Amino acid sequence: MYSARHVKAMTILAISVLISMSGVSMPTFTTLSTSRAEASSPPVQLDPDGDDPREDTTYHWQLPGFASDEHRQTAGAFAIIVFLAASGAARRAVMRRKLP
Amino acid sequence: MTQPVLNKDAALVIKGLTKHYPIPKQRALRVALNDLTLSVDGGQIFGFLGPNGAGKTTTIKMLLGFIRPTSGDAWLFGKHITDDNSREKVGYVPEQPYFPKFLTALETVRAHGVLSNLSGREAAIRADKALEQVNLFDFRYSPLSKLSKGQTQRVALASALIGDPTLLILDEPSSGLDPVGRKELRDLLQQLKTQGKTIFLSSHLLSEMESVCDQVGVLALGKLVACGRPSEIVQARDQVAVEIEQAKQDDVLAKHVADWGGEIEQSSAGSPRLLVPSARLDALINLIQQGHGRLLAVTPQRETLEDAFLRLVS
Amino acid sequence: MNTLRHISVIAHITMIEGARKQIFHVLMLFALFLIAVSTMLAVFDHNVQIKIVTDLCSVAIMLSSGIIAITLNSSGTTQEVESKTIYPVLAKPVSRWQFVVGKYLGTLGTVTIGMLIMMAAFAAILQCTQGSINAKIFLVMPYLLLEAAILGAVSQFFSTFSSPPLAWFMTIVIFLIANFKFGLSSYLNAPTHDVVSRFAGLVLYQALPNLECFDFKDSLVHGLTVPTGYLISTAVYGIVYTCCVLSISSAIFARKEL
Repeated sequence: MYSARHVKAMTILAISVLISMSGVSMPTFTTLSTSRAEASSPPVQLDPDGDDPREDTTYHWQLPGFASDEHRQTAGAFAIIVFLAASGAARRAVMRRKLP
Repeated sequence: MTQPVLNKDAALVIKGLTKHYPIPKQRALRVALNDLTLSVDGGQIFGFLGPNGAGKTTTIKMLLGFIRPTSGDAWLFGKHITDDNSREKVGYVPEQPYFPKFLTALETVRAHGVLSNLSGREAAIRADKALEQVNLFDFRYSPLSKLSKGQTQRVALASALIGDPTLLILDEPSSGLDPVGRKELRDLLQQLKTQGKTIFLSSHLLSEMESVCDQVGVLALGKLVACGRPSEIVQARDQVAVEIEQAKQDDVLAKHVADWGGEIEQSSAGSPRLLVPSARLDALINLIQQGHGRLLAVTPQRETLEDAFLRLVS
Repeated sequence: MNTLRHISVIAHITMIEGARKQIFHVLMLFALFLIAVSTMLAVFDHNVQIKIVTDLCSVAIMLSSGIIAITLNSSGTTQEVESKTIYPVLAKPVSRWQFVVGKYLGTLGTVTIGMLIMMAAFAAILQCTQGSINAKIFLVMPYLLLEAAILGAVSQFFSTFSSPPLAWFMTIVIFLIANFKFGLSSYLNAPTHDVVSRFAGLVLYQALPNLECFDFKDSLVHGLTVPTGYLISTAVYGIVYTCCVLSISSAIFARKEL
């Protein structure tokens, strides 16, 4: 009833869905890494607000966090790509079987 | 009309192809094509005739995958039309070809060569030959914005021919061509036919179709109303036209023609033209020789393809 | 091999066509004007001036490349259908998805050309103001291109089923929302909102790209190191997201009647 192509397409689809649903979680990147000069300097006493007094308070920046959301989106996007490719291949396989 | 017999090994096989369009704001469907079934054998020129809105362009669009059929199937060289590779050996010339205007004729044809699965080098070599074949080699470096409508049509033809297609689909190829261009097109089609190519063309110029096509199919309101050789479609008329010269109107001749079920009309030269059944030709000639006029010409009457077309679609 | 040939021919023609368009020239002139004007706006001491010039030029490049990508992709496919130049192409053994990808890569090529011109102008400005060019700052450029690539893909997605002006407008809205995605999330997930709004917010949050992560120019401007893992993750995220949107666009275009 199902050809080898159908089975292959469905297997790829199932694996991709499982990967995306497993909630791939990666460590969250927080702020930027420090320069060599800062790394070799002695530990810094934080002020009562918890801020590093060496930071320029007039221009405060932070590296945009690459949270687990983006990894989940990447996996989900990959699953969508595989699903569309598999369904297209399955549809073409069905049409090729129609003989004149 | 009996359904045409399908040849499964044919270049083009259409089986039950149907296309419905929903009519906006109404709960109804417009039938653009209704259960079309036909096949076109290899090496033939097949003429697809029909009035405006009959479904010719709809059929061609479905064959090329531009639109999806509501039901039915079609195959190009055994490959279903939903398979993109079915168009590998197909060349298409639309009724009004449009290309990016900034490209030159050579660049356009070369690009279509690569799209026809040729390598870049092969496409470059064949592009020159294709433009020579359509008598446009001298204009190969001209941008398309500078070419006339007829020249753009030739670029389209060259783009279709560059992939050495086995099936050519031409939608109104003569539109935009002057009489010299049409003659060159007819000669080119015959040349392509001798090379074993199959040609599927739709046209309104029925006189040309009659002289060029091996088979014709007539479409009316989405249905195939006739399909076969032109000689099979036109009806034989058992009539002859006799053109005479008379000094004055002859009542005897007119009475005999009326008794035989014929009619008298004026020819383009102003002389009487007698239409009578073929069986009465000898009697009529005897009458004329008895002093009722001078015989100028005798012409057997046959239905033209245009007459047959008008009869079938009315 | 044939697939690559088809895509490259379509992309090549699209790229040349895009580079010839008036809108591309206007946006490029505007971006170059912004880059030139940045030196006049920075009237501080030398170190701060360099940072502000770099910041302003990077923003100009990011905005211009994004808008060029959105504008060219919002009308590309629709224009081909309306002008009927698509028929001779699709009459060949060219798949619908090859056409979509070819058009997309062609406009991306046009955006890349624009970006290279803007980068050259930026480098010239740095040379004039600083006396030397800090190559590290240009590390963010491929990621700004990736951000433009995502926006171009989203624009092309909308163009497969809506008109060019609507596709342009919706992509610009997404451009704005996606640059403030985390702020939006905390707002929409606030417990005071009704279930429907929260669900809609959740769907938007999960579907929209996070464009903030491509813009780490602030770190480079202040001479700080960006982790390699971050760069790789961001690049993979951008590429996969773009491919996903292109796949959906191809699937929609494959069902479209021409």
